[in-house]
Amino acid sequence: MPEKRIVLSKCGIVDPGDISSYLRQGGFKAFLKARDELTQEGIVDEIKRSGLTGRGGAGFSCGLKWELAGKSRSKEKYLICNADEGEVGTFKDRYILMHDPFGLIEGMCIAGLAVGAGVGYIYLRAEYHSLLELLSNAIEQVRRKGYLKHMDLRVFEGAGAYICGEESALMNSLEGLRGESRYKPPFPPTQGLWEKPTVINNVETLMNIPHIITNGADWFSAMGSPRSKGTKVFCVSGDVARPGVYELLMGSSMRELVMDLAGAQDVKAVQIGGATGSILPGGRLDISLSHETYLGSGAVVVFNGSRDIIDIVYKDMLFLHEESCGKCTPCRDGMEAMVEIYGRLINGQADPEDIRILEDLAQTMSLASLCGLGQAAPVPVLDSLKYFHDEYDAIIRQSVYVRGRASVL
Amino acid sequence: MMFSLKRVHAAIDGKKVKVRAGTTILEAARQAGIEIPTLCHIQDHGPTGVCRVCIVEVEGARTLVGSCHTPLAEGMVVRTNTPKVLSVRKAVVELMLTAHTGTCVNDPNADNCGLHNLASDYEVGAPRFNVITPRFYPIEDMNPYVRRDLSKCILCRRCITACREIAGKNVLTIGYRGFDSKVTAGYDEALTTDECRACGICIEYCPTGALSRPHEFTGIMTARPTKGLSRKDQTAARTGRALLLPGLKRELARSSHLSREAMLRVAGEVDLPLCDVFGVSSFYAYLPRRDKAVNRIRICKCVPCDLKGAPPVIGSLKRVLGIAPGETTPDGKFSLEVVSCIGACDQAPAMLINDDLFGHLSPEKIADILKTY
Repeated sequence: MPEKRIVLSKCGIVDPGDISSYLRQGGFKAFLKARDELTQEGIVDEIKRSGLTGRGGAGFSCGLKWELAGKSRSKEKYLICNADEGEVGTFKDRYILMHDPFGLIEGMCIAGLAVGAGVGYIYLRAEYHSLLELLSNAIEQVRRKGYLKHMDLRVFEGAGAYICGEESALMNSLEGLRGESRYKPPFPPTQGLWEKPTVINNVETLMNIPHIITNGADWFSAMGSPRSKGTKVFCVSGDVARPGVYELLMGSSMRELVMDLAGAQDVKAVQIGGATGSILPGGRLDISLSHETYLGSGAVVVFNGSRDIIDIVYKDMLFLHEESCGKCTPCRDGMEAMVEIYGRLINGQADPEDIRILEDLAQTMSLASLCGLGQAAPVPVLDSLKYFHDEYDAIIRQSVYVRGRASVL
Repeated sequence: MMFSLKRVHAAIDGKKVKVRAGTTILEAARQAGIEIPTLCHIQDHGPTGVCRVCIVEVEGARTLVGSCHTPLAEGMVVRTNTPKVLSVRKAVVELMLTAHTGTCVNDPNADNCGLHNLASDYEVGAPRFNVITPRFYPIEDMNPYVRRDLSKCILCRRCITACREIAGKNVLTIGYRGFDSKVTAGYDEALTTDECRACGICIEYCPTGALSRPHEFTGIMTARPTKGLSRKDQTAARTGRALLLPGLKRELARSSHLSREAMLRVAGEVDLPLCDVFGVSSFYAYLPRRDKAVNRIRICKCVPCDLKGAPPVIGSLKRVLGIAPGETTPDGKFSLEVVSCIGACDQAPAMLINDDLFGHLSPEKIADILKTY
């Protein structure tokens, strides 16, 4: 099955600097329909029935979030677009913001109506500072068209912290605090930004909204798999001939994405969902991509036969070590222990015992950490131990041999 | 939190409990006479939830949950001492032990250490997770009121809560991030004596030997309980804090790095203490404090860039600039940082010079790119 462009349908077609070109492509018709023909509940219901799920990784029902926040009688409610994509291997938000900022803003305009949010924020990662002007300019043009009368839409820039992609850390950052994760519950739709009801959606999630309002929930829910509706934008990088963003129906196969579209050859393994993502061997490319199986943020990094899996996991761990917020013990101190064990493995100083310790540490971190970062950090460790155990065995054997020789000499 | 008359029914370790809605699992367990160990928790103060010692098993939950911050819900089935809970709790204690340098083998005060006692309770033996480079800080004993041995700190944040909420001061905060996190004062400097005079409340609340009274000190320390902020003050504080990051960025645009003076200026503008401004800004990677380079080179080292040849490109940058990552050229023209993913994996290897993105790099291209700056 070829690409199915819905989210990306206007990318490369509209002029990101000029609203009139977006309007010529049918832009803001969905917003006008939502504003003039649908009630607040009507919009929420449409999104709920569509089965749209969060595209940032967690896959929670978008309509349910909106409903929870929408029903709240609080006078102060917020809408946040999470444009802090920091997941290793993910660049879809950059692509979308660069090519179709109006699509995102229209999605936010509709979300604002549905939730009753008076203020909306786009939390833009610091690394994308160059997009700030384009985005602010687009918002200004929408405002001048009169489509932002119900909501004050602002861009808030991050300051360089991966963890701020985690929704509670993002809210802390927006409030001017350290970007540390909060414990849950409470969840954002009941107590989010400044403890007020807040809806946080990913860029890609919001891009789907105008299409669902225009074409209806049934049109959307007819696409995809039972628990994953619509399409997904994937970012393919690593050992492929054609790295880039690809939009496919949910449930499409990994083989199609990495081999047919991105042109990978001799695939040893793929990692799905960034540094905390699953690592699968090349022999399992026939899996489908959906919330039911593997998806995450949609990042797919491909490794060819020449790559060393342990080295890759080590680099993932170094990244997570650097980006751990340091609030809770298992993640803060566990990441340090993890990185040190991998350092020993890479430098040929590991013990057979280290593998067992690695497993204990992985269990502790995934069960006791405060947020998703610490909980998911051991995923590539456990996956690589499962599928590439022989590489660990070889490296341990070699370490023991080298040390044995050293002690003899 | 609003008081609710609603009651919830649940079971903790097989014991039926009925508590007011909003009660945490920890409180409910204590009411039922079930003890759950804690380190970071301070009775009657909001949960911090950082130490993870109080984790328990809740039926149907994907992970273990912190009992100090999770409200008991209707029908919840909680278990506080299953083999899984005990083994993970023990591992958490082990991690705390291995991450700090403090040796307490010969310390006569070790019996007063909460961590030490937990380690005995859970029969922690030889270190399993052996961190070779634990946190280490020299002892800080210039202050006549508080002696700080931060190598023994387990980052439970009780001192910060005590300082803010009980003493009503704002001397301490958490600075930096991840494994480098540290309880800091001011612009990460020694405690100023003035504010700590006649207080020392932080010492009372420190579960380890990280904070103690200096031997010479004989004065009486009393802390007065603080009054909460009024609604109006809360709104003002909220507005001020929300301007903190934008304020720091403005300052950065002017002077390319955040000196103590710059942070003091921002602190004044947003009406926050310097320690707080430092604590927030040192968390973020794009708010540099030291080097004053005109052009900041940030090259990505993450897996997709690494696969496509980032290491030789970094080597080329080092050669052409004559500096190592983390340094600035003597003329102050360039600084070099090796950073986390910059979201240009499709153009790997990639780097940012200020806000300009350069992709598909090779070692040969570096000299020509740098010439344009």
